[in-house]
Amino acid sequence: MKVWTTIDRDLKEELASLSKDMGFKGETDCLREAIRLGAENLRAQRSLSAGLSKSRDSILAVAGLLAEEYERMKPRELELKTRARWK
Amino acid sequence: MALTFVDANILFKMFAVSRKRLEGYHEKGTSGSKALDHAIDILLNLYRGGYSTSELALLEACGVVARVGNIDKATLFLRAVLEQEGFSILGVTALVYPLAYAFVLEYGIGARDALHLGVATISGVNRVATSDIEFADGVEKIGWGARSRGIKIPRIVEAMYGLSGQERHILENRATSALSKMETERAPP
Repeated sequence: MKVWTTIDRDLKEELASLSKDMGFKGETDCLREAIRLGAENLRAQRSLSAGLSKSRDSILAVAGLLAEEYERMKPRELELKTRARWK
Repeated sequence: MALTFVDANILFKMFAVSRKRLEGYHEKGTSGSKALDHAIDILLNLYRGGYSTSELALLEACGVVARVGNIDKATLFLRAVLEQEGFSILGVTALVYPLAYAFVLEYGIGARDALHLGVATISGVNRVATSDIEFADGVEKIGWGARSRGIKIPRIVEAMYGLSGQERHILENRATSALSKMETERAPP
């Protein structure tokens, strides 16, 4: 694809950012997928939690939130509880 | 870039790590529980990136928290996951469904596992971490199928979603490529 020589700089930067965020191997793969799915669809995926501010250790900040519940569980009970709603 | 899918059960365990357990892990190299050690290993590396879960797995985990804990804890849980740096939440997009049907109809795996694996396949995940034996077995079974005969979308599913031949071909190729290289990380239960 010779798109790279013709698209404008902002679009190139957006494509590079989108490729990185979405985990594509390269920008060409991302572009192919964007054409197929529509760029808006990809942006929506990327921004699933973008409305919230990020912090390095937000999970550690509530360490032990479920410690008591987990300690009460028998071996494999968590796995069974997770599956239970699907059966 | 390597991307690991973290299943709902491991997600829950990350929140079961108390300060005391964490101190034990830092001081003695173990929290006293293999399952929590595994969750801590992921937890301490989350901010570096390369980890993900799906909105579906997150919903599952929230559901368990609401049932075994309470709704306030479930809300805190959800917020902490969404705000965690380096942790991607993968969307359940329309393309996940034909793949999930294919996994169920071709390999007989459960609906839950099929949807999780569909999200992982579409989103560029190359490792699935889970303590659920059935899920890990299913991922390995489909990975083996992808390497030996490729992923095929059944005709009935192609018709159901109105996929063109070319769309089916692209989806099959992408799934075959992703699942051939998909690894499993079996976490202690």
